[in-house]
Amino acid sequence: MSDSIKKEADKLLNIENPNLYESNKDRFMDFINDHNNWYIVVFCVLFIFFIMHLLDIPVLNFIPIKDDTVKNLINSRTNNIVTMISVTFAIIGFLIANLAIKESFTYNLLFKKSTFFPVAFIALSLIASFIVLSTFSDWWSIDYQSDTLLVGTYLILIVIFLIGYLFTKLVRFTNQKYILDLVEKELISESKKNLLMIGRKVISLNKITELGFYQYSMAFLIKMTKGEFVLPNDHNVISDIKIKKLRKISEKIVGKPKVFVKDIFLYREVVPNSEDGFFYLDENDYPQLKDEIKELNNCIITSKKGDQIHTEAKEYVLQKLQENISSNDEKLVESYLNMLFEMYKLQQNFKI
Amino acid sequence: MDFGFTLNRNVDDITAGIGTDVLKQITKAVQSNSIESFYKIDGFCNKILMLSIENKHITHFKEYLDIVIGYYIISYEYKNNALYNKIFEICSDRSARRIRELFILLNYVFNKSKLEDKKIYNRFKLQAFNAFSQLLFEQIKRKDIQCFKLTFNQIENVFLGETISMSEFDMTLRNPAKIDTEKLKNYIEDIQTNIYVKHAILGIRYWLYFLYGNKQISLEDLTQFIRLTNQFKKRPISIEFWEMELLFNKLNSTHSTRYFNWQGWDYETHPEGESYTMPSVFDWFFCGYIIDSIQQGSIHITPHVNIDLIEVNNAPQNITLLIGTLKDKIQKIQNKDIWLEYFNKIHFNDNIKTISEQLNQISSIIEIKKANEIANEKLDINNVTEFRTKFYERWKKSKFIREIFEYFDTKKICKDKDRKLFLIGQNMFFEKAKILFLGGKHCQRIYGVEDLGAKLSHWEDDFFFQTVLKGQTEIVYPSIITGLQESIKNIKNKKYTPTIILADSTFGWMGLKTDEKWNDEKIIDSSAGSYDSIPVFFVNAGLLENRFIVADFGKAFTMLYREIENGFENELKIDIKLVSDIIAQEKLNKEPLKWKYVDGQEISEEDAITHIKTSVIVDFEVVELFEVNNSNAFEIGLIENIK
Repeated sequence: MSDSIKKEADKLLNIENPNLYESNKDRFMDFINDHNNWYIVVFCVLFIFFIMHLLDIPVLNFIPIKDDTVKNLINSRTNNIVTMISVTFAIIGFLIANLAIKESFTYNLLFKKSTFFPVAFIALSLIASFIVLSTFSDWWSIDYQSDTLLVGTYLILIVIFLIGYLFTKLVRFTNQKYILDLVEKELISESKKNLLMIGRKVISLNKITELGFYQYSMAFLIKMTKGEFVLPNDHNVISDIKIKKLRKISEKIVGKPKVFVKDIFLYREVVPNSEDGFFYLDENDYPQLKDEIKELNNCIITSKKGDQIHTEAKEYVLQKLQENISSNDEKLVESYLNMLFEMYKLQQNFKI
Repeated sequence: MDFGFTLNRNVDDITAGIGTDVLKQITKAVQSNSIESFYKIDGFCNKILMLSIENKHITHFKEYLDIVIGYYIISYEYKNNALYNKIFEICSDRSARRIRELFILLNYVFNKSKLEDKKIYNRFKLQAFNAFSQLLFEQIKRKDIQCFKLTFNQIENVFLGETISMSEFDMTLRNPAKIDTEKLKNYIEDIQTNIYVKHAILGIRYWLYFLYGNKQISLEDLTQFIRLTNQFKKRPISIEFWEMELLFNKLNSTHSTRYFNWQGWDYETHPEGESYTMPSVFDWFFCGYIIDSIQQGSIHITPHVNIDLIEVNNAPQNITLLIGTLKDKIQKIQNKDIWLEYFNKIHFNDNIKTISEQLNQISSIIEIKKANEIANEKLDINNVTEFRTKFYERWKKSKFIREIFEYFDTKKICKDKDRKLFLIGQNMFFEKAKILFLGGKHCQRIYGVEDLGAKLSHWEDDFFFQTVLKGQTEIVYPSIITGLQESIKNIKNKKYTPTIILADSTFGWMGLKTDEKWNDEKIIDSSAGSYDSIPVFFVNAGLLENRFIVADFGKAFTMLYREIENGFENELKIDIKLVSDIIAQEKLNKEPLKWKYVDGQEISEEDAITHIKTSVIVDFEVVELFEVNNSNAFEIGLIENIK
């Protein structure tokens, strides 16, 4: 097992608060709905289109295609899919324009929850694949082209279903209640993620305190040193801690000169080039513990950008609450207050 | 808004900041006169409060109680506008009602719980009563008698079908042996609600008195508000002295400095640039208690109630402090005309006299009780040893003449039992000092007693100078320099070598230190320097005033001492002895007036003896003798006409 305080903390948190962890399905959906992961979708489509059929699955190869029709078919399929996608995008544009609540937060939700991105990426990469296929039609063997065409046709059929699915999803976004449900889900998912981060932070702080180091203070009268430790360039947050190694070293230095720690916990921001050390000791003791200090500092893993506490959903809900109170819409006021109540429930049932 | 809402800003709480927003929304709802929206927000607050009780989450509970008080504070701003009349009425009513309705759930879960959970739910109840008291405080601030009445009614409604009388509890406390501890503990938790509500009401009453005393409200306002708080559920509120004692303990302990938020109550905003102190709860609360007592004619005292059963961490000196505070308050009230006006002079002075006597009685009883406990307690061996060691260390540190004898090696043990040596020391009757040597709760430190060790050293020095001055005639010199030079010459002529100069410390700045023969170099460590290569010591003893001694020390003097078994360095004896009955009786006969009155109250002879027995006898001594061996080996000079 790898040495990570994050994992240790997650283990503890999972025992006390299993409800905070998302199901695998949700996590998968979140992953493919993230537009930053486009390359994976594109890669999959290209892989299936150009390579999968080399495996030769007899069940799918039941349609015979004559050699001289292959090129024609490829061209017409390419036309088909391009037309289809253009029409689809036009309809999607119309649906999105008719969203029940038109705000940047709900647009974000729409793109996040409607599978818009994966469907669009699949369709677009399919178009690209057909274009490539038709361009290289004089170069590749006819057998290969006919197999590829077959796979492409299956993929087009799948895309048609996916577009249908996307339409049904998008249509629901014209319903206000559906959007409210989604906002609530989003708020809860945000809260859960934040709680997990808080949990990890508190647990990491407790674990470090348990090691029994002394607390560093800027007000010490003795001159303290952090050794030759320098924070890697641009790193500004503690992203993980090698707790097992840290434990081992701390046991080793029991009885030796005092080592002081300064606020070590997960997600702590550190500012490079200022008071950025994690372990300190009296300057006179430094030669004796030079190696240990280096090792100790190596246990703290920093990175450029860590996870952050998100409050978009919470702020959105509070803002909507205010708007609806001003406009005297008590029904919506109640809905938004109920969402906040769910947050309180989560917080109060959260155990560390 | 001038109300100090305790809103949640903990970064480790995902709901932090929502409370602030909820307050803003309430303001918005009131501003836009939207009663429906207010109801929705109120419903939300209620749900959070209930949830917090369910999950025992006191932070959120406190936060939302404050928000509920906010209903009143926010809507009050719009009170005078006819358009907002309705929403103000609803808000102020909800404010008190919401708090009261919490008790339905609180009482339900409380009654179902075991002891540990009861303690937790009592913290919630305390917060709820705190909210009530805070709401009343705000209503007094706004002189809003109508809402004050409404809130007070809601508090009464918490106790539907119940009474807050403590008489049953009084009985139990008087016979604690009859019930087992577990049951008693449960009983104490059960009774807390009654204590809290009483404190909430008393706090408000006494605050009103304080406002009147500081001319913040008029006499009419005071009587109007006070009349509403005179009775609780149509019965007068009675306060036993032990309840006050309990409360004083609570307020004086470090754990509950924010009890009922009283410490933070103030009647005006701090004027900028002026020095200003917040009113202290000890000031106004107990002053109010005295005013109530004057009105009733006396203090209610239930004898034999042991409050230690309720509160374990009681400091025994608290009761003395409480009585001191109360006596102080009586004096303050007496000197203020404003109170004469309030009481309309009826029985004012008589009642004050009765209460003062009662307080004196209580304090004398407490003194005797304490004296009894102290007199019967055994000395703590550790404390005795510590005292002896410290005494010894002080003696050792300040010895002077002894050190010189030790340096010249002329200190000799006297084994001849017939030889008469002198006993230097004291058999000291140390009044009420037994507490110094006790281990238990009565143990107290008195700083500086160890200085007796230094005193003993000085006595020894004086004894030496006495002996020396007796054994030699003084020669008068016009100045210290001529004196020293003459004396050194004389001793040298007698074939002795002067090895030491002891001089009055004033000579230091009277020319001695500026003479060319003076040298700052220290031949003996503790000396001040040397003159003509002879070490000089400056002495601060009365006997050596304007005098100096030049001596061949080793040949001139010897010190004899008697060995003392188990003494420090085999010489110093320190004993702590208890006062026996015989000694106590002697003391009493000698000074009957001193011992037979405690706080102006006459006590019995037996109690007086006990009182005397809180003293100890500290016996410390060394047995020694200084001898002059050879009067030719030293000279004493006296300087006349010191300018």
